[in-house]
Amino acid sequence: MIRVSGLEAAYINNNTLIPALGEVSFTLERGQTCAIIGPSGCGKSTLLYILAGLLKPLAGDVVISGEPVRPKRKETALILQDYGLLPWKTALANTTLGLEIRGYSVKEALEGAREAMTDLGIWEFRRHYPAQLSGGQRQRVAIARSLTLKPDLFLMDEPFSSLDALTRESLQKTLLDFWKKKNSTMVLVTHSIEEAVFLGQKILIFTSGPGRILQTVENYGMGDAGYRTRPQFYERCSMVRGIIEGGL
Amino acid sequence: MGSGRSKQLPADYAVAIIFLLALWEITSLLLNRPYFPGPYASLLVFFHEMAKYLWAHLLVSTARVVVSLAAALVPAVILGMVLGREQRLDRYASPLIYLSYPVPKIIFLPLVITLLGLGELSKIFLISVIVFFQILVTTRDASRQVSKSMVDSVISLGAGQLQIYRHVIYPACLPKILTALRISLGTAIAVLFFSETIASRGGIGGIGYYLMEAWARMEWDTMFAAIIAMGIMGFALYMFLEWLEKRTCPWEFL
Repeated sequence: MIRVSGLEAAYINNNTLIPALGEVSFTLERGQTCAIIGPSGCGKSTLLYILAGLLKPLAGDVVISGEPVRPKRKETALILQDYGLLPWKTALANTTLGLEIRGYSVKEALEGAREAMTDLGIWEFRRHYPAQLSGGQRQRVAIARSLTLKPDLFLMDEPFSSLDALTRESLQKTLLDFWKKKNSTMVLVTHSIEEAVFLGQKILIFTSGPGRILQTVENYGMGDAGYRTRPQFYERCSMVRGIIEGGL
Repeated sequence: MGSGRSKQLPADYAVAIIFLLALWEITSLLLNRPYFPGPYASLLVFFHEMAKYLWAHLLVSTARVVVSLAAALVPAVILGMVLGREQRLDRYASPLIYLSYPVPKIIFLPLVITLLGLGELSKIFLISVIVFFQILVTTRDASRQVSKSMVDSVISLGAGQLQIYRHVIYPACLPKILTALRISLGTAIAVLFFSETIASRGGIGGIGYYLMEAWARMEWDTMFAAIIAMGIMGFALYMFLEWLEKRTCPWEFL
Protein backbone atom coordinates (compact mmCIF):
# COMPACT_ATOMS: atom_id res chain seq x y z
CA MET A 1 0.00 0.00 0.00
CA ILE A 2 2.70 2.47 1.05
CA ARG A 3 6.34 2.22 0.07
CA VAL A 4 8.65 4.96 1.30
CA SER A 5 12.30 4.75 0.36
CA GLY A 6 15.19 7.08 1.10
CA LEU A 7 12.85 9.93 1.98
CA GLU A 8 14.47 13.23 2.92
CA ALA A 9 12.62 16.43 3.69
CA ALA A 10 13.40 19.92 4.93
CA TYR A 11 11.57 23.11 5.61
CA ILE A 12 12.60 26.71 5.21
CA ASN A 13 12.80 28.96 8.26
CA ASN A 14 14.27 32.46 7.94
CA ASN A 15 15.78 31.53 4.58
CA THR A 16 17.72 28.58 6.00
CA LEU A 17 16.97 25.03 5.02
CA ILE A 18 16.29 23.00 8.16
CA PRO A 19 16.36 19.23 7.66
CA ALA A 20 13.21 17.53 8.97
CA LEU A 21 13.57 13.95 7.81
CA GLY A 22 16.69 12.00 6.92
CA GLU A 23 16.68 8.76 4.96
CA VAL A 24 13.34 7.35 6.03
CA SER A 25 12.29 4.04 4.48
CA PHE A 26 9.44 1.74 5.38
CA THR A 27 6.59 -0.20 3.83
CA LEU A 28 3.05 -0.75 4.92
CA GLU A 29 0.74 -3.45 3.59
CA ARG A 30 -2.85 -2.77 2.61
CA GLY A 31 -5.08 -2.95 5.66
CA GLN A 32 -2.21 -2.46 8.10
CA THR A 33 -2.08 0.23 10.75
CA CYS A 34 1.05 2.08 11.61
CA ALA A 35 1.73 4.43 14.49
CA ILE A 36 4.55 6.95 14.21
CA ILE A 37 5.96 8.18 17.48
CA GLY A 38 8.95 10.24 18.46
CA PRO A 39 10.07 13.43 20.21
CA SER A 40 8.64 16.82 19.18
CA GLY A 41 10.20 18.17 16.03
CA CYS A 42 11.21 14.75 14.70
CA GLY A 43 9.43 15.42 11.44
CA LYS A 44 6.59 12.97 12.00
CA SER A 45 3.97 15.51 10.89
CA THR A 46 6.15 16.38 7.90
CA LEU A 47 6.10 12.71 6.91
CA LEU A 48 2.32 12.66 7.12
CA TYR A 49 2.00 15.78 4.97
CA ILE A 50 4.27 14.17 2.38
CA LEU A 51 2.11 11.03 2.39
CA ALA A 52 -0.92 13.31 1.89
CA GLY A 53 0.80 14.94 -1.08
CA LEU A 54 0.66 18.36 0.56
CA LEU A 55 4.45 18.65 0.87
CA LYS A 56 7.16 17.73 -1.60
CA PRO A 57 10.14 15.75 -0.31
CA LEU A 58 13.73 16.76 -1.06
CA ALA A 59 14.71 13.28 -2.08
CA GLY A 60 13.41 9.74 -2.06
CA ASP A 61 10.34 7.96 -3.35
CA VAL A 62 6.87 7.64 -1.95
CA VAL A 63 4.60 5.17 -3.68
CA ILE A 64 0.99 4.76 -2.61
CA SER A 65 -1.04 1.93 -4.07
CA GLY A 66 1.48 1.46 -6.86
CA GLU A 67 1.53 5.11 -7.91
CA PRO A 68 3.88 7.93 -6.97
CA VAL A 69 2.28 10.14 -4.30
CA ARG A 70 0.33 13.13 -5.60
CA PRO A 71 -1.90 15.74 -4.02
CA LYS A 72 -5.64 15.10 -4.00
CA ARG A 73 -5.44 11.35 -4.25
CA LYS A 74 -9.12 10.62 -3.92
CA GLU A 75 -8.88 7.67 -1.57
CA THR A 76 -6.63 9.37 0.98
CA ALA A 77 -8.25 10.93 4.03
CA LEU A 78 -6.32 13.37 6.19
CA ILE A 79 -7.44 14.05 9.75
CA LEU A 80 -5.63 16.80 11.62
CA GLN A 81 -5.13 17.62 15.27
CA ASP A 82 -7.41 20.65 15.16
CA TYR A 83 -9.95 18.62 13.16
CA GLY A 84 -9.84 20.95 10.12
CA LEU A 85 -13.51 21.77 10.53
CA LEU A 86 -14.82 25.03 9.15
CA PRO A 87 -16.40 27.12 11.93
CA TRP A 88 -18.93 28.66 9.51
CA LYS A 89 -20.40 25.33 8.48
CA THR A 90 -22.71 23.20 10.57
CA ALA A 91 -21.66 19.67 11.48
CA LEU A 92 -23.70 18.40 8.53
CA ALA A 93 -22.28 20.95 6.07
CA ASN A 94 -18.78 20.10 7.27
CA THR A 95 -19.45 16.41 6.71
CA THR A 96 -20.90 16.85 3.21
CA LEU A 97 -18.06 19.18 2.20
CA GLY A 98 -15.80 16.46 0.81
CA LEU A 99 -18.52 14.98 -1.37
CA GLU A 100 -19.66 18.47 -2.40
CA ILE A 101 -16.13 19.44 -3.47
CA ARG A 102 -15.85 16.23 -5.48
CA GLY A 103 -18.96 17.13 -7.39
CA TYR A 104 -21.50 14.73 -5.93
CA SER A 105 -25.14 15.82 -6.01
CA VAL A 106 -26.68 17.35 -2.89
CA LYS A 107 -28.75 14.22 -2.41
CA GLU A 108 -25.78 11.87 -2.62
CA ALA A 109 -23.74 14.10 -0.30
CA LEU A 110 -26.56 14.16 2.25
CA GLU A 111 -27.01 10.43 2.07
CA GLY A 112 -23.28 9.80 2.53
CA ALA A 113 -23.08 12.24 5.43
CA ARG A 114 -26.08 10.73 7.15
CA GLU A 115 -24.62 7.26 6.99
CA ALA A 116 -21.23 8.33 8.35
CA MET A 117 -22.67 10.61 11.03
CA THR A 118 -25.10 7.95 12.22
CA ASP A 119 -22.25 5.42 12.42
CA LEU A 120 -20.31 7.83 14.63
CA GLY A 121 -23.31 8.80 16.74
CA ILE A 122 -23.35 12.48 15.84
CA TRP A 123 -26.33 12.68 13.45
CA GLU A 124 -28.40 14.38 16.14
CA PHE A 125 -25.81 17.20 16.32
CA ARG A 126 -25.93 17.88 12.57
CA ARG A 127 -27.31 21.41 12.96
CA HIS A 128 -24.67 22.44 15.51
CA TYR A 129 -21.74 24.60 14.56
CA PRO A 130 -18.28 23.32 15.56
CA ALA A 131 -18.14 25.91 18.36
CA GLN A 132 -21.21 24.26 19.87
CA LEU A 133 -19.65 20.79 19.89
CA SER A 134 -17.28 19.20 22.37
CA GLY A 135 -13.78 18.27 21.26
CA GLY A 136 -14.73 14.62 20.91
CA GLN A 137 -17.81 15.44 18.84
CA ARG A 138 -15.76 17.70 16.58
CA GLN A 139 -13.24 14.96 15.95
CA ARG A 140 -16.11 12.59 15.18
CA VAL A 141 -17.38 15.09 12.59
CA ALA A 142 -13.90 15.23 11.06
CA ILE A 143 -13.77 11.43 10.94
CA ALA A 144 -17.30 11.29 9.49
CA ARG A 145 -16.28 13.71 6.77
CA SER A 146 -13.36 11.54 5.77
CA LEU A 147 -15.51 8.38 5.92
CA THR A 148 -17.95 9.83 3.37
CA LEU A 149 -15.14 9.72 0.82
CA LYS A 150 -14.72 5.95 1.30
CA PRO A 151 -10.96 6.22 1.73
CA ASP A 152 -8.60 3.26 1.68
CA LEU A 153 -5.88 5.24 3.44
CA PHE A 154 -6.33 7.26 6.63
CA LEU A 155 -3.61 9.71 7.61
CA MET A 156 -4.00 11.15 11.09
CA ASP A 157 -1.89 13.80 12.76
CA GLU A 158 -2.26 13.54 16.55
CA PRO A 159 -6.00 13.29 16.11
CA PHE A 160 -6.93 12.87 19.76
CA SER A 161 -4.23 14.85 21.52
CA SER A 162 -6.47 17.70 22.67
CA LEU A 163 -9.17 15.44 24.08
CA ASP A 164 -9.67 14.35 27.68
CA ALA A 165 -8.58 10.82 28.56
CA LEU A 166 -12.02 9.16 28.52
CA THR A 167 -13.10 10.75 25.23
CA ARG A 168 -9.74 9.85 23.75
CA GLU A 169 -10.07 6.19 24.70
CA SER A 170 -13.61 6.00 23.37
CA LEU A 171 -12.54 7.52 20.04
CA GLN A 172 -9.54 5.21 19.85
CA LYS A 173 -11.94 2.33 20.22
CA THR A 174 -14.24 3.79 17.56
CA LEU A 175 -11.27 4.05 15.23
CA LEU A 176 -10.23 0.48 15.96
CA ASP A 177 -13.76 -0.75 15.19
CA PHE A 178 -13.75 1.12 11.89
CA TRP A 179 -10.40 -0.22 10.93
CA LYS A 180 -11.53 -3.79 11.60
CA LYS A 181 -14.79 -3.25 9.70
CA LYS A 182 -13.46 -1.41 6.66
CA ASN A 183 -9.99 -2.91 6.54
CA SER A 184 -8.45 0.38 5.49
CA THR A 185 -4.82 1.33 5.89
CA MET A 186 -4.06 3.79 8.68
CA VAL A 187 -1.05 5.93 9.47
CA LEU A 188 -1.29 7.63 12.83
CA VAL A 189 1.14 10.22 14.13
CA THR A 190 0.97 10.44 17.89
CA HIS A 191 2.97 11.49 20.90
CA SER A 192 1.16 9.09 23.18
CA ILE A 193 2.88 5.75 23.74
CA GLU A 194 -0.39 4.11 24.83
CA GLU A 195 -2.14 5.31 21.70
CA ALA A 196 0.68 4.04 19.49
CA VAL A 197 0.57 0.62 21.14
CA PHE A 198 -3.23 0.45 21.11
CA LEU A 199 -3.68 1.42 17.46
CA GLY A 200 -0.45 0.59 15.64
CA GLN A 201 0.22 -2.87 14.22
CA LYS A 202 3.55 -1.47 13.31
CA ILE A 203 5.15 1.21 15.49
CA LEU A 204 7.79 3.40 13.90
CA ILE A 205 9.92 5.09 16.54
CA PHE A 206 11.65 8.23 15.29
CA THR A 207 14.81 9.94 16.51
CA SER A 208 14.79 13.65 17.25
CA GLY A 209 15.09 15.98 14.26
CA PRO A 210 16.03 15.41 11.52
CA GLY A 211 13.92 12.33 12.08
CA ARG A 212 15.14 8.87 11.20
CA ILE A 213 13.54 5.59 12.07
CA LEU A 214 15.19 4.48 15.28
CA GLN A 215 13.37 1.19 15.45
CA THR A 216 10.29 -0.54 14.08
CA VAL A 217 8.24 -2.51 16.57
CA GLU A 218 5.87 -5.22 15.32
CA ASN A 219 3.01 -4.92 17.75
CA TYR A 220 1.53 -8.44 17.78
CA GLY A 221 -1.66 -8.77 19.75
CA MET A 222 -3.15 -5.38 18.98
CA GLY A 223 -6.52 -5.09 17.31
CA ASP A 224 -8.66 -6.14 20.22
CA ALA A 225 -10.55 -3.65 22.38
CA GLY A 226 -9.47 -5.55 25.53
CA TYR A 227 -5.80 -5.23 24.64
CA ARG A 228 -5.47 -2.10 26.73
CA THR A 229 -5.97 -4.03 30.00
CA ARG A 230 -3.63 -6.93 29.27
CA PRO A 231 -0.15 -7.24 30.79
CA GLN A 232 1.20 -7.63 27.25
CA PHE A 233 0.00 -4.08 26.49
CA TYR A 234 1.89 -2.65 29.44
CA GLU A 235 5.01 -4.58 28.56
CA ARG A 236 4.91 -3.26 25.01
CA CYS A 237 4.36 0.29 26.28
CA SER A 238 7.40 0.10 28.53
CA MET A 239 9.40 -1.41 25.72
CA VAL A 240 8.51 1.48 23.37
CA ARG A 241 9.20 3.98 26.14
CA GLY A 242 12.60 2.38 26.70
CA ILE A 243 13.48 2.65 23.01
CA ILE A 244 12.43 6.30 22.85
CA GLU A 245 14.36 7.23 25.97
CA GLY A 246 17.39 5.27 24.82
CA GLY A 247 17.37 7.14 21.51
CA LEU A 248 17.41 10.61 23.00
CA MET B 1 -16.39 33.91 19.41
CA GLY B 2 -19.66 35.77 19.22
CA SER B 3 -20.43 35.40 22.90
CA GLY B 4 -18.77 38.76 23.61
CA ARG B 5 -21.32 40.61 21.52
CA SER B 6 -24.05 42.38 23.42
CA LYS B 7 -27.58 41.84 22.24
CA GLN B 8 -29.60 45.05 22.06
CA LEU B 9 -33.32 44.96 22.60
CA PRO B 10 -35.74 47.46 21.01
CA ALA B 11 -36.40 48.78 24.50
CA ASP B 12 -32.70 49.63 24.91
CA TYR B 13 -32.86 51.67 21.71
CA ALA B 14 -35.99 53.47 22.96
CA VAL B 15 -34.17 54.46 26.15
CA ALA B 16 -31.18 55.71 24.14
CA ILE B 17 -33.41 57.74 21.82
CA ILE B 18 -35.26 59.34 24.75
CA PHE B 19 -31.93 60.17 26.37
CA LEU B 20 -30.60 61.85 23.21
CA LEU B 21 -33.83 63.80 22.68
CA ALA B 22 -33.69 65.00 26.29
CA LEU B 23 -30.07 66.08 25.85
CA TRP B 24 -31.04 67.95 22.70
CA GLU B 25 -34.00 69.64 24.42
CA ILE B 26 -31.88 70.73 27.39
CA THR B 27 -29.10 72.11 25.14
CA SER B 28 -31.67 73.98 23.13
CA LEU B 29 -33.30 75.45 26.25
CA LEU B 30 -29.95 76.47 27.74
CA LEU B 31 -28.68 78.03 24.52
CA ASN B 32 -32.02 79.66 23.81
CA ARG B 33 -31.01 80.77 20.30
CA PRO B 34 -33.12 80.67 17.11
CA TYR B 35 -30.44 78.62 15.31
CA PHE B 36 -30.75 75.75 17.81
CA PRO B 37 -34.40 74.68 17.87
CA GLY B 38 -35.49 71.85 20.16
CA PRO B 39 -36.45 68.35 19.04
CA TYR B 40 -40.20 68.96 19.05
CA ALA B 41 -40.11 71.91 16.66
CA SER B 42 -37.49 70.21 14.50
CA LEU B 43 -39.42 66.95 14.24
CA LEU B 44 -42.59 68.84 13.28
CA VAL B 45 -40.73 70.53 10.45
CA PHE B 46 -39.06 67.24 9.55
CA PHE B 47 -42.37 65.48 8.93
CA HIS B 48 -43.72 68.52 7.14
CA GLU B 49 -40.64 68.71 4.90
CA MET B 50 -40.60 64.97 4.31
CA ALA B 51 -44.07 65.27 2.86
CA LYS B 52 -42.78 67.92 0.45
CA TYR B 53 -39.27 67.46 -1.00
CA LEU B 54 -37.03 66.13 1.75
CA TRP B 55 -37.92 62.47 1.04
CA ALA B 56 -36.57 62.83 -2.51
CA HIS B 57 -33.28 64.27 -1.23
CA LEU B 58 -33.10 61.48 1.34
CA LEU B 59 -33.66 58.89 -1.36
CA VAL B 60 -31.00 60.37 -3.65
CA SER B 61 -28.44 60.51 -0.82
CA THR B 62 -29.20 56.97 0.33
CA ALA B 63 -28.88 55.66 -3.22
CA ARG B 64 -25.49 57.38 -3.58
CA VAL B 65 -24.17 55.82 -0.38
CA VAL B 66 -25.47 52.35 -1.24
CA VAL B 67 -24.17 52.40 -4.84
CA SER B 68 -20.77 53.76 -3.74
CA LEU B 69 -20.38 51.13 -1.02
CA ALA B 70 -21.37 48.33 -3.39
CA ALA B 71 -19.04 49.61 -6.10
CA ALA B 72 -16.13 49.65 -3.65
CA LEU B 73 -17.04 46.41 -1.90
CA VAL B 74 -16.85 43.95 -4.77
CA PRO B 75 -13.37 44.79 -6.12
CA ALA B 76 -11.97 45.46 -2.63
CA VAL B 77 -13.10 42.08 -1.32
CA ILE B 78 -11.85 40.12 -4.34
CA LEU B 79 -8.51 41.91 -4.44
CA GLY B 80 -8.13 41.78 -0.64
CA MET B 81 -8.73 38.02 -0.48
CA VAL B 82 -6.24 37.35 -3.28
CA LEU B 83 -3.54 39.66 -1.88
CA GLY B 84 -3.88 38.02 1.53
CA ARG B 85 -3.07 34.63 0.02
CA GLU B 86 -0.66 35.42 -2.80
CA GLN B 87 2.44 36.70 -1.07
CA ARG B 88 4.24 37.39 -4.34
CA LEU B 89 1.48 39.70 -5.55
CA ASP B 90 1.20 41.30 -2.15
CA ARG B 91 4.90 42.19 -2.18
CA TYR B 92 4.24 44.56 -5.05
CA ALA B 93 0.83 45.72 -3.92
CA SER B 94 1.61 46.42 -0.26
CA PRO B 95 3.90 49.43 -0.78
CA LEU B 96 1.34 50.89 -3.19
CA ILE B 97 -1.42 50.46 -0.64
CA TYR B 98 0.61 51.84 2.25
CA LEU B 99 1.59 54.90 0.25
CA SER B 100 -1.88 55.68 -1.02
CA TYR B 101 -4.00 54.62 1.96
CA PRO B 102 -3.09 57.49 4.35
CA VAL B 103 -3.49 60.21 1.70
CA PRO B 104 -6.76 62.01 2.47
CA LYS B 105 -8.41 61.37 -0.87
CA ILE B 106 -11.04 64.03 -0.22
CA ILE B 107 -8.41 66.55 -1.38
CA PHE B 108 -8.97 65.23 -4.90
CA LEU B 109 -12.56 66.46 -4.80
CA PRO B 110 -11.89 69.54 -6.99
CA LEU B 111 -9.96 67.42 -9.47
CA VAL B 112 -12.66 64.75 -9.53
CA ILE B 113 -15.34 67.35 -10.15
CA THR B 114 -13.30 68.90 -12.94
CA LEU B 115 -12.83 65.49 -14.54
CA LEU B 116 -16.22 63.90 -13.94
CA GLY B 117 -18.49 66.93 -13.61
CA LEU B 118 -21.11 67.77 -11.01
CA GLY B 119 -23.27 64.72 -11.67
CA GLU B 120 -23.58 61.39 -9.87
CA LEU B 121 -20.33 59.94 -11.15
CA SER B 122 -18.01 62.35 -9.32
CA LYS B 123 -19.67 61.77 -5.92
CA ILE B 124 -19.92 58.01 -6.28
CA PHE B 125 -16.36 57.76 -7.57
CA LEU B 126 -14.92 59.74 -4.67
CA ILE B 127 -16.82 57.84 -1.97
CA SER B 128 -15.97 54.50 -3.59
CA VAL B 129 -12.26 55.23 -3.81
CA ILE B 130 -12.08 56.24 -0.15
CA VAL B 131 -14.09 53.28 1.10
CA PHE B 132 -12.30 50.87 -1.26
CA PHE B 133 -9.03 51.22 0.63
CA GLN B 134 -10.64 50.68 4.04
CA ILE B 135 -12.30 47.46 2.91
CA LEU B 136 -9.27 46.29 0.94
CA VAL B 137 -6.83 46.55 3.85
CA THR B 138 -9.22 44.85 6.29
CA THR B 139 -10.02 42.03 3.87
CA ARG B 140 -6.38 41.45 2.99
CA ASP B 141 -5.40 41.22 6.67
CA ALA B 142 -8.29 38.85 7.38
CA SER B 143 -7.39 36.69 4.41
CA ARG B 144 -3.77 36.52 5.57
CA GLN B 145 -4.84 35.24 8.99
CA VAL B 146 -6.81 32.26 7.70
CA SER B 147 -5.23 29.22 9.33
CA LYS B 148 -3.14 27.11 7.01
CA SER B 149 -4.41 23.88 8.51
CA MET B 150 -7.97 24.80 7.56
CA VAL B 151 -6.87 25.37 3.98
CA ASP B 152 -4.84 22.14 4.02
CA SER B 153 -7.74 20.09 5.26
CA VAL B 154 -9.94 21.41 2.45
CA ILE B 155 -7.20 20.77 -0.12
CA SER B 156 -6.95 17.21 1.20
CA LEU B 157 -10.66 16.86 0.41
CA GLY B 158 -9.80 17.72 -3.18
CA ALA B 159 -10.57 21.44 -3.30
CA GLY B 160 -9.15 23.61 -6.08
CA GLN B 161 -8.27 27.30 -5.78
CA LEU B 162 -11.82 28.56 -6.39
CA GLN B 163 -13.26 26.12 -3.87
CA ILE B 164 -10.68 27.21 -1.28
CA TYR B 165 -11.86 30.78 -1.74
CA ARG B 166 -15.50 29.78 -1.64
CA HIS B 167 -15.44 27.44 1.35
CA VAL B 168 -12.60 28.86 3.44
CA ILE B 169 -11.24 32.31 2.59
CA TYR B 170 -14.48 34.13 1.85
CA PRO B 171 -16.45 32.95 4.90
CA ALA B 172 -13.39 33.48 7.12
CA CYS B 173 -13.15 37.10 5.94
CA LEU B 174 -16.88 37.83 5.86
CA PRO B 175 -17.35 39.04 9.47
CA LYS B 176 -14.33 41.34 9.14
CA ILE B 177 -15.60 42.60 5.77
CA LEU B 178 -18.93 43.50 7.34
CA THR B 179 -17.20 45.28 10.21
CA ALA B 180 -15.13 47.22 7.68
CA LEU B 181 -18.32 48.06 5.84
CA ARG B 182 -19.92 49.43 9.01
CA ILE B 183 -16.91 51.62 9.71
CA SER B 184 -16.81 52.68 6.07
CA LEU B 185 -20.46 53.67 6.25
CA GLY B 186 -19.61 56.58 8.54
CA THR B 187 -16.82 57.67 6.21
CA ALA B 188 -19.09 57.30 3.19
CA ILE B 189 -21.79 59.53 4.68
CA ALA B 190 -19.25 62.18 5.70
CA VAL B 191 -17.74 62.25 2.21
CA LEU B 192 -21.23 62.26 0.71
CA PHE B 193 -22.22 65.29 2.77
CA PHE B 194 -19.08 67.12 1.76
CA SER B 195 -19.41 66.38 -1.93
CA GLU B 196 -23.12 67.19 -1.96
CA THR B 197 -22.51 70.58 -0.42
CA ILE B 198 -19.79 71.42 -2.94
CA ALA B 199 -20.65 69.56 -6.08
CA SER B 200 -24.35 70.13 -6.66
CA ARG B 201 -26.22 71.81 -9.45
CA GLY B 202 -29.41 72.46 -7.53
CA GLY B 203 -32.63 70.48 -7.96
CA ILE B 204 -32.69 67.27 -5.94
CA GLY B 205 -29.11 67.61 -4.78
CA GLY B 206 -29.30 65.31 -1.77
CA ILE B 207 -29.50 66.03 1.95
CA GLY B 208 -26.12 67.78 2.06
CA TYR B 209 -27.29 70.23 -0.58
CA TYR B 210 -30.68 70.60 1.13
CA LEU B 211 -29.02 71.35 4.46
CA MET B 212 -26.68 73.98 3.05
CA GLU B 213 -29.58 75.66 1.24
CA ALA B 214 -31.57 75.82 4.47
CA TRP B 215 -28.53 77.19 6.28
CA ALA B 216 -28.00 79.88 3.64
CA ARG B 217 -31.65 80.94 4.00
CA MET B 218 -31.28 80.80 7.81
CA GLU B 219 -34.23 78.39 8.00
CA TRP B 220 -32.99 76.75 11.15
CA ASP B 221 -35.90 74.34 11.56
CA THR B 222 -35.44 73.08 8.02
CA MET B 223 -31.72 72.68 8.62
CA PHE B 224 -32.45 70.52 11.64
CA ALA B 225 -34.97 68.54 9.64
CA ALA B 226 -32.12 67.71 7.24
CA ILE B 227 -29.87 66.75 10.16
CA ILE B 228 -32.57 64.37 11.39
CA ALA B 229 -32.91 62.91 7.88
CA MET B 230 -29.16 62.33 7.66
CA GLY B 231 -29.19 60.70 11.09
CA ILE B 232 -32.05 58.40 10.15
CA MET B 233 -30.29 57.40 6.95
CA GLY B 234 -27.11 56.51 8.82
CA PHE B 235 -28.97 54.60 11.49
CA ALA B 236 -31.10 52.65 9.00
CA LEU B 237 -28.07 51.63 6.92
CA TYR B 238 -26.17 50.66 10.05
CA MET B 239 -29.05 48.51 11.24
CA PHE B 240 -29.24 46.92 7.80
CA LEU B 241 -25.58 45.94 8.03
CA GLU B 242 -26.17 44.49 11.51
CA TRP B 243 -29.04 42.45 10.16
CA LEU B 244 -26.95 41.36 7.20
CA GLU B 245 -24.19 40.13 9.50
CA LYS B 246 -26.66 38.11 11.56
CA ARG B 247 -28.08 36.61 8.39
CA THR B 248 -24.80 35.80 6.67
CA CYS B 249 -22.59 34.93 9.67
CA PRO B 250 -24.81 32.93 12.05
CA TRP B 251 -21.75 31.17 13.51
CA GLU B 252 -20.56 34.50 14.93
CA PHE B 253 -23.67 34.77 17.10
CA LEU B 254 -23.77 31.42 18.86
